[in-house]
Amino acid sequence: MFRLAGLLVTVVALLGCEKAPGDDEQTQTINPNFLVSQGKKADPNYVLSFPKDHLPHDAFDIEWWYLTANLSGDDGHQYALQWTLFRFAQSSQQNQWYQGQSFMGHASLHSPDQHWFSERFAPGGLGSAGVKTIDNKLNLFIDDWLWQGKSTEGTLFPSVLNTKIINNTSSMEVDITLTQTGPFVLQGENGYSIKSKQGKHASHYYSLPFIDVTGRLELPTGDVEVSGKAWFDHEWTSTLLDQTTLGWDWMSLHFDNGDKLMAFRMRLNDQEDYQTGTYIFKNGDAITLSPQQITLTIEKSYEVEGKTLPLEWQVVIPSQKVDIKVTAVKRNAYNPSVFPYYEGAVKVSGSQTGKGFLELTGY
Amino acid sequence: MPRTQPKLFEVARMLVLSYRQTWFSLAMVWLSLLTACAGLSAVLLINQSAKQSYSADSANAILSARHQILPIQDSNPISLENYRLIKQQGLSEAIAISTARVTLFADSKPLGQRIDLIGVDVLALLNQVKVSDSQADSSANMQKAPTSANPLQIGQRMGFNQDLILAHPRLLEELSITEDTVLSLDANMQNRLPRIRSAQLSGLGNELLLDIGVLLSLLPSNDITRILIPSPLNDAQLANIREWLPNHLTITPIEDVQDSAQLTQSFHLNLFAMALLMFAVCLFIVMNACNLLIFKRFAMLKTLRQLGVSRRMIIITHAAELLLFAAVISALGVLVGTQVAFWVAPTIRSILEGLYRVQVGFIDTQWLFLYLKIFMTSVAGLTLALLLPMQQLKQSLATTKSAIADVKIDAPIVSALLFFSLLAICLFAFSNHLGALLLGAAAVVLAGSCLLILLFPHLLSVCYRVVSSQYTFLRLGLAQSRALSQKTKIACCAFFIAVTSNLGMNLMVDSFRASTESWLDQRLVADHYLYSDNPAINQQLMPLAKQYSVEVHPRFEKEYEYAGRAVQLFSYPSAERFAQAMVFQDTSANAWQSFEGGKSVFVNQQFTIRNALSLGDEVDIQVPITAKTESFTVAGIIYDYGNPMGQILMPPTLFEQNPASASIFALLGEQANIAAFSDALKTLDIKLDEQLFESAQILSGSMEVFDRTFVITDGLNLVTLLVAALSLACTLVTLIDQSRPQTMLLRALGISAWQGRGLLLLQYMLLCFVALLCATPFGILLSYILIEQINYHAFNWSYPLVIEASKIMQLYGISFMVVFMVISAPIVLSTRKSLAQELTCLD
Repeated sequence: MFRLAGLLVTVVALLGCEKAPGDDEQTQTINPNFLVSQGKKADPNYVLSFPKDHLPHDAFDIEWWYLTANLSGDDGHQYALQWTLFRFAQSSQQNQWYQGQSFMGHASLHSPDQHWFSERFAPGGLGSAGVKTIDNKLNLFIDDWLWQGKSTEGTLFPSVLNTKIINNTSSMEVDITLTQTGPFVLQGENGYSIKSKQGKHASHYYSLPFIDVTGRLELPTGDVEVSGKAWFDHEWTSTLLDQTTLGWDWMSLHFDNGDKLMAFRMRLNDQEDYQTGTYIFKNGDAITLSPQQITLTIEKSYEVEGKTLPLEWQVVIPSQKVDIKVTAVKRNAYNPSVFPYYEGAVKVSGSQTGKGFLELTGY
Repeated sequence: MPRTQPKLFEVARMLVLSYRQTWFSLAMVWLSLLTACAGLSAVLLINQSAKQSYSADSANAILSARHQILPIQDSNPISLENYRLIKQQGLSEAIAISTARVTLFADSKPLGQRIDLIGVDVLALLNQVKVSDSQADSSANMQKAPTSANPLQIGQRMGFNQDLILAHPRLLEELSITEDTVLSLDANMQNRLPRIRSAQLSGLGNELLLDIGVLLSLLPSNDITRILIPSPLNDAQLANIREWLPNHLTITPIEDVQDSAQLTQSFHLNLFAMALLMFAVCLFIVMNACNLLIFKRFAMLKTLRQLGVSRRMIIITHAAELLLFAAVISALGVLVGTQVAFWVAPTIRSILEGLYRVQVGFIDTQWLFLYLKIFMTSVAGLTLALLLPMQQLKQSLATTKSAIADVKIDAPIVSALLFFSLLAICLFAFSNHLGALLLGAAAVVLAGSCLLILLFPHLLSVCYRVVSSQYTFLRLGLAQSRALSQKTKIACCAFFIAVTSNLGMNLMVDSFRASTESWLDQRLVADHYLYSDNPAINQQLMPLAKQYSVEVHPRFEKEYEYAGRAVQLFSYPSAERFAQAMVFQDTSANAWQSFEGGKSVFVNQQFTIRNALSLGDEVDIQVPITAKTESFTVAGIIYDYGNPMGQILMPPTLFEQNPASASIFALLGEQANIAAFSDALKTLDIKLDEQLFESAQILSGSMEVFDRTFVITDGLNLVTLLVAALSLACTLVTLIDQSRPQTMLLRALGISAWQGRGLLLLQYMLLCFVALLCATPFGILLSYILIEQINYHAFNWSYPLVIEASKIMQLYGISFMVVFMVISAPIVLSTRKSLAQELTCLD
């Protein structure tokens, strides 16, 4: 859920100083407009409804649709897929080209020994990116990437996702079908998700952790049939960041017993870390975990891309008898984005077993 | 008692102590080295900036694009829908560009020049950043895109903050604006541009870079001008794109970049050649100044030898001294040269933009690299320049005589003459490469110098014999000049090279100017020309003109590609007035009849040279009106000075008769009718002062641009002449010192100091006169080579050589004046000495 927020911490780090490489002129500070809250604030009384709330909420500054999937291939290998569409509203973009909005897309696939990552940017007014109902089907798209609902009722699932991802040496294509197997989960209080101790930051946030995936990966070495489980998040807000935010550690886990867990730690400057999460039972019931109900402890950190990243965690939730170890499957799962961050698969051991995703930003 | 041999440090100290007595020659060494280094630095910097030139659009240069998608016709531009389709087909890195040339206002006042706004899809640049870093698809045979810092810098600064305009700091300086200046598209300051930020982007010149969304909102009538594709595309990818690309769009590789680089290469080479010439002439001064320096120090050096200092140590000390001079003066030269380059940058940009229709970026200096280049060149040049003086010094220090030995150089000079002559003949006979041809031109000049050295005494002897004995003073002068010529060979060579180059360049430029003026005068047949590319307005022109009895001849045009190169396809009327205005290099019989009948075409010189065509050859051309390819005979080859492109002229009947697609209209009619028509044009929203021109106005404007173009050449010529004169001055000082016994004797005989120096001045002027006489045929030859060889291969056009005696006389006058002014100073200074002083100066 904090995925974009965490990402934006990197944006601040990158754009906070305008000095360009090789430019010895005076430093100027440019804050992207979406870092300054101008849009609508999240409303605790807002009632989410679907499929309406799958669509964009343009009045809010930032919004994202985020899919992660842990896949098993018929070649015996494990694959980790991420597909994300971000929307930003900016006051300086009130013209035909932008219509006040910009989009950014990220797609990443990890095989045991390779990483493909691609990034797309598009102005909102061009029509080459967006989340729209076309012919009564929900479409999430940017350039030639398309995630399209199959239902003519505008629902997101079942759906197909087609994306081409490229790296330094080769390209691959993802062609998968996503099937919903459980209910949507409204995070926080009925989808109103508080992000800091003071409750200063909040968003509208829901997830679908119950998704079955089948499909094909067209790899340079040949096609691989895959299947697995995916996790979908949709979140929108105008008050997620402030200057004290250092970064985020976020994880989404699929336990083998069918339960799910979302947990995160928010790192703040000169403040105590804020950690919380949601425990989701296999029937879709969910419990929001207060900071007192969950403990996230770093067990081991590793040097990755010149940064020290916590890639082994202990997660303890006494109320649910959870005491697990979450370990990154690949140490180097850094997305070489314009705003780089860590996003990779994890395995779960301990009181529960399973797999999932870990996101680390602001390092 | 054993004598201790002086150490290197002590010898060096002695040299430093001698600086008070040798300040003039040292100053000459420093000054000439500084001039050489500054000139070379300036030219290297100018060339570096000019090489960032690209035709059509600076965006290509700034963003390092490899392909571009363009509308086939301007009337059917690229729409947002088209751009969306291109993106959705997977060309994510495609970057939409929209450009506009506008007048901007600051404080309600227009800026001094019109500015190009370049609107860039900055979000797409962020895609390109990733493409540059990571994209490659080996299976699809894609190659890695060239890494460029520009997209990253622009993307970082503007990707998420479009409320900015980027401008090169030099442009801000030129426009006298700062980052705080508010710019607007109108004097009322209503249509304000985003805030300005300076950015040193390579390739960015007279442009403001902004987000395309912002540009399109400021100028809603603007369209997407082009779409750039940064990564290289293979044939399969191109074929695939052409399949789905809308019919009114085309994708082409950006070869113009290469073409333009080749095109402007001739300019760079010319400039570089001029700089090298100046550098070479400066080294002649260094050689003379060093001779003078050694002469002044000779007594001291002899003493050092007597104290046991080896010749080797003396030579090493001198070499170290000059190396130190080179190190320090190279740094100063780089500083001065950079400043000079910045001063002349606007002129150079306007020359390149006018002559080659390219955009030129600002100069970015890499100080250390430039310094090292200049320092190494100086050291190499100094080594060459000092070979002779050092050889002389070595020999002199080995003898017991107190005078400096003369080195006999006749035999090597004859060899050099043969070598340079053969080199020039071979290069012109067997090479078309511009660099080789310039080397050939240099060889001709050097061969001339050798000839001068060999002929100098003989020519003076002939003059001596010719002059009647009643002109005693003149005969005396000639006799002494002959003796003097032995000692002034090198200095006279520098002067000869300067004059030859000056004459060659001047005759070439004058011939070009005369040809251009006469060509323009003849070609501008109509009384007025109207420029309008607005289809809606153009449709109304003909009916309106009819009302005022004004004949309107639209020039139809079509972008065309012949043998892989863009050429201009224009209509040309065959009415008698227009037929008489055509200036042919060559034409076949019944050319106009055949042209009017649509069976033949006229092409410009550039087109024939590039495609190896001659009169009567057949060319296959797609007829604009039918879009079918037909064969046409080349019935005439026309002069088309200043046009970098090939041009094909066809009769108007082969074009669709649609004035909407024309952009230039020739107007014929009575003056009063045209005046009334002009008033009526105002109602069509035509800006008369920007779009309607009288022929005379176009002619004078063109010639102004022409003159501006060669102003730098003139400047370099003058500097070269000046340094050559300084070289003579150095020799003169040496000779004044050397001839003190004779001077003293003459003065003792009652000849005044003024008369003595007058005689010396006369001798020098005689030497210059002979050098000028020798330089004249070589100057004319050089001019011929520049026109028929260099110009022909660089620009693909040539013109007749015009030799005007008045121009040659003018150059003689200027040369005499420069030499007179420069050498008068030491002569006047030397006359201040009294006879007693002259006598006490004797050893």
